[in-house]
Amino acid sequence: MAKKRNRLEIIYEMLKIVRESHNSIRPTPLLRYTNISSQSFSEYYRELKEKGFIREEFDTKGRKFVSLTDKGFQFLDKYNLIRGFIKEFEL
Amino acid sequence: MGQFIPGPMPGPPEFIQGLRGPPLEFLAIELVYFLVVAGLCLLIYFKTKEIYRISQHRGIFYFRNIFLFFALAYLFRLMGVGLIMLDDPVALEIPRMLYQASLFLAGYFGTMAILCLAMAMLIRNVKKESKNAYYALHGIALVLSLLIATERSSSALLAMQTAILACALLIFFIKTRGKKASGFSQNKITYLLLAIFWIINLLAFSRIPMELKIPLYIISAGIFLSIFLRVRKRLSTNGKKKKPA
Repeated sequence: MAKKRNRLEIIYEMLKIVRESHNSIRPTPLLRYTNISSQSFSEYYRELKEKGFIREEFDTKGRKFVSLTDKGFQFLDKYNLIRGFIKEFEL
Repeated sequence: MGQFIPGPMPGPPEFIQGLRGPPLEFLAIELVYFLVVAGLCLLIYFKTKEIYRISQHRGIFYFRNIFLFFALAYLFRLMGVGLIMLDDPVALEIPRMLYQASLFLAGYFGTMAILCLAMAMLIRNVKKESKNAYYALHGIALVLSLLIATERSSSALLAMQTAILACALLIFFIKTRGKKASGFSQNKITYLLLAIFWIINLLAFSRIPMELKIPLYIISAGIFLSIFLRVRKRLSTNGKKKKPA
């Protein structure tokens, strides 16, 4: 059975999925690929938006797309460092 | 005609006599200790600024704040200790007010450091932290420190912070009871030692001999140094793993 992901891992996976989707993905496929409940997804999505990791863009037809901000890219680059620090100090 | 024999020269006014002050070496030891500890604390705080900015992780937030508040607490502890070392501080109104202020501020920042330490230990076991939790901690520290400052009692401050640490430990044991990651790891012991040595340092507000203080100062500074070295090592690896030869 797969190990339950912690908060940091879920955020990492969400941002990674956005990056791997050429930095533009609609929320519904993002939910599907993240593999969490829709309620949890809404909470994480709101948190990522409030903290400036992602932004929403709209195309000419008014469809919403999610992309990473600079901060989101930095998180992905520094993820191993952050994860190592949290693990080292048991935070 | 009698010879004029001058009387004894008048000494300095009574209120100045209390300003003889402690031996300079005592002040120097206290100052060096403060500079080492506060310097290490601030280094830890600023070194972790970037990863907190990127991650916004609550555990890192509380971890950093432990050291920020300890730096401030040690600053006002130094002020209080310096005033204590005056021979007769109570004869002087300004030093007495300063002593009261230093007791309040050392109490406030010391309490915040211990509360942040408790949160750093517990945050993994908290599913969802209340948005007002941090402000509540400030409120608790403020109220308790005001009470202590009005009493002007360093013993009361010591007792209060010991009680807070004991409560934090109790909550920690309750929260982690039966869980896989329960018990005291090296990190938890280090955090505890930080809190215990801060509380012991409050004894400096009483006149304990320097022979007892120096070993405590060395051990306490050593603990801060060990944490700083671990932080620096962890953040300088930059997430890169060493490839096998």
